[in-house]
Amino acid sequence: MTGKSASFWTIIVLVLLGTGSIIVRQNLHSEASDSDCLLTYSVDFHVRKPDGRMAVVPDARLFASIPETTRYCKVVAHEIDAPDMELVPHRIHTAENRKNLVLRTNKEGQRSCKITFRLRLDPKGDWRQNPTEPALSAKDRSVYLAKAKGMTANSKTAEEILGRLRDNKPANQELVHRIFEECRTNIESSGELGDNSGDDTLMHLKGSPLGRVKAMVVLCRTAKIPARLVTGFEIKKDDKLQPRHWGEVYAVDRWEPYDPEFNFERELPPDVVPVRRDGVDLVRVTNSTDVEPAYSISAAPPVTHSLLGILDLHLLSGKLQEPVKVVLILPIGALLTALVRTIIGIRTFGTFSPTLLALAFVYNDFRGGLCILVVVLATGFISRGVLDRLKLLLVPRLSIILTLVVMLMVLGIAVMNHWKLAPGGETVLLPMVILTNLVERFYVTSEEDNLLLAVRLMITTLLMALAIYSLLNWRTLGNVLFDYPELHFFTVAILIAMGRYTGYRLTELVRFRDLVQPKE
Amino acid sequence: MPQSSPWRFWAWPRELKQAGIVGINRRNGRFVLPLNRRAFYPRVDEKHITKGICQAAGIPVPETYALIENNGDVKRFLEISGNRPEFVVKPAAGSAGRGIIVVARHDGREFFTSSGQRYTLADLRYHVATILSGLYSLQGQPDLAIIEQRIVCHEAFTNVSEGGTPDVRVVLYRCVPVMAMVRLPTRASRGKANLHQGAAGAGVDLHTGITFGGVCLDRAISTHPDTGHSIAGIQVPFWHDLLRAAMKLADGLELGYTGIDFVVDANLGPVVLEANARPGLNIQVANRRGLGPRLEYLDSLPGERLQCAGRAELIETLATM
Repeated sequence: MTGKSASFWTIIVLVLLGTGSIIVRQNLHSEASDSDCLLTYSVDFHVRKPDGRMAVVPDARLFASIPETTRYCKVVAHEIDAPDMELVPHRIHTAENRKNLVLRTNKEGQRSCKITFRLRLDPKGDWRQNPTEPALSAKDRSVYLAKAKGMTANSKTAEEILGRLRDNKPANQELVHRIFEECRTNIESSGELGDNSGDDTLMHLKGSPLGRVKAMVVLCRTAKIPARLVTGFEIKKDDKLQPRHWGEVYAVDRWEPYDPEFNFERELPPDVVPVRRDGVDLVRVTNSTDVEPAYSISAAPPVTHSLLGILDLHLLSGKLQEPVKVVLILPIGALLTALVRTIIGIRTFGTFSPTLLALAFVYNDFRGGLCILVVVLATGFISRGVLDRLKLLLVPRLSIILTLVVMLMVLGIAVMNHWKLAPGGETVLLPMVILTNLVERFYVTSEEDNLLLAVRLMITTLLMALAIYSLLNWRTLGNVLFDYPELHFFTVAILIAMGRYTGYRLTELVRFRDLVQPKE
Repeated sequence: MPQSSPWRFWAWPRELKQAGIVGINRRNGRFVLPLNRRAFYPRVDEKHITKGICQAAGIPVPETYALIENNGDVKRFLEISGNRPEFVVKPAAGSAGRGIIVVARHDGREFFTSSGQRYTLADLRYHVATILSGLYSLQGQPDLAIIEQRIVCHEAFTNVSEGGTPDVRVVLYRCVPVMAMVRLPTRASRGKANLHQGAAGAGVDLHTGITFGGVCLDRAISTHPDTGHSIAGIQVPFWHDLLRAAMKLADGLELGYTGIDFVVDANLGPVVLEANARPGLNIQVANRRGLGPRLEYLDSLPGERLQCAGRAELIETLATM
């Protein structure tokens, strides 16, 4: 096998390995994460035969609403513990856009089931939401403008309140805001959990949280603005969790949440997850009585995957995670170095000196570190010139430069401290051996070749260090590589491809320009 | 060949490819890596080994006066080398002309190079010690210092060099000379013949051994930057002897892609200075043409055409490409 085909197949294998590893890890991620929590529906109910007829086989169906995906939260798995019940294979999508798990049983008597949803939380709000809802159809519009139980749109009370809020003929969005403010400030909260009707709440200007939401829905519908109830949960660890209710209003071109009780308007808070729209009951059971649902949220226990768990870097202690993130970016620094040298053709002092310098700066205040670096290099270079007169052998001379570098660095830290510039405690981590070699190489190059070349190499070395430093400080890159370290299979694949690159370096386009025949 | 516009700042890759220019990546990936076995690198990286191969093949090399291996010998390096009136101090594993001092005259206390630079005995001893410590060696490893015969350059190059010894670089591919140039020291190069240090280079017609074109600091030139004499039209003395010596040494080195540096001595003729496993690509600028077509032509030939007898004809063909 030639080097070319061996490289090609190695790249293919690496890409496959990388892709495969990422898929495996994604599956692992979907099963376990530190930020997971468990939302549990525990339901007790009694299955009865229809109309009490002895000869008929009972057919009870349990509908459990599935929490929806938001930017901050998504369901990654669910588990059902329901003896003598079976899962109806297909989720039912109703016109109201509800999503349910459906279980059924034909056994009479007391039943209980437990449905647990594993919720994955992302405080940064990076989850992709469900596709945008289509524009509201005429049919849906009529549904969300209609009267409903306890929510009589166009009632006299609602018309009166709305008449007041319609002063100056506000646009829909402004009118909804006024309705929200009315329900939030002028309707008193009873503080009790309960199901007041929207009509009663408007009548007495007092109601439960659900009553206030219903009141808002009534007012919106009276104003001919589609509105609906939403039921969900506040995501907090609680073994007796109560559902929360808020309203959604279609004021212009999308549904927007409003909660007069917990005071949020147009944006859903990160710690709230909607579960059911246009309804209050999250669990419904047909042909049954005594339905008693209970809800709880608890932390998800860490899931161990035997040996595979070793590869989950999130299981590392917090202290270790940051350095590991930085170390994981280092190969990207090497990739950049290879790119700059092989494709662009820029030379530096030492292949990996810029990378090591950049690594040292990561643990420093960059500006402070750079000041000290420049002073150390300049003074080191002058000292090297003086040392040349002493005619010392290489190793003792390098050792003296190292000592000088250390002393200068300590002096720099002391001076910065005196002027309250507060250098980072890690400034001493500046790679002294690298600096020593830089001083020596700079001096030798300026003597053997010329000062201009030495200065040019020093500038490119520092610029490379700066570029790699920016990479190392790129949090998103660090987080992605921390989540998927196997991405470095791709890094190696790119490096192999680069190693096989036999095209021109960019600098050669300038260097050999005189060899191109001018056009006649 | 018409000159490029001085206002042209770059060329497109397509244009360079059409001109047959070989870039560093292609040189390394396509020629050096596959054809130069790593195990044979010491044959060129260490000058005393190169010398041994030359001597075995009957190729003239500068006489070695002394090989300094220990720091203990540094103090009396002058005595060990036989108190020669003129000599050269160089690192055995040096590169790019670094660490070479050519002593043209001395009185035992003060030493002067051909360009007039003055060194004391202490300076020279220090220089030998730094060579031993590996300051000039390729990998920074401890090295040997070679004290050898100073070659007196042939008068053919007197008008086109400044403060140093011009040399002739021949690049061989599969042991056939494919391109050559003379490297002419300048004031900017401080007497050194390395192009990247500011020396001038002029292409050599492979068939006739007559110089043409030229380059200095990556730009095309036609006259020596210091003396103002034309660097074209100079006949390299003993040209065919030089090519024969180059091919013989390439056979001994067993490297597929190599550069060999000669100095043309007034009495000895072509003398091998050193060989290089990764010769630079400025030879293309000096010759104002790319190596690509010549290398591809040799690749297209069967192995037997590259044997001793057929090479002379090949050189003639290559010179026209």
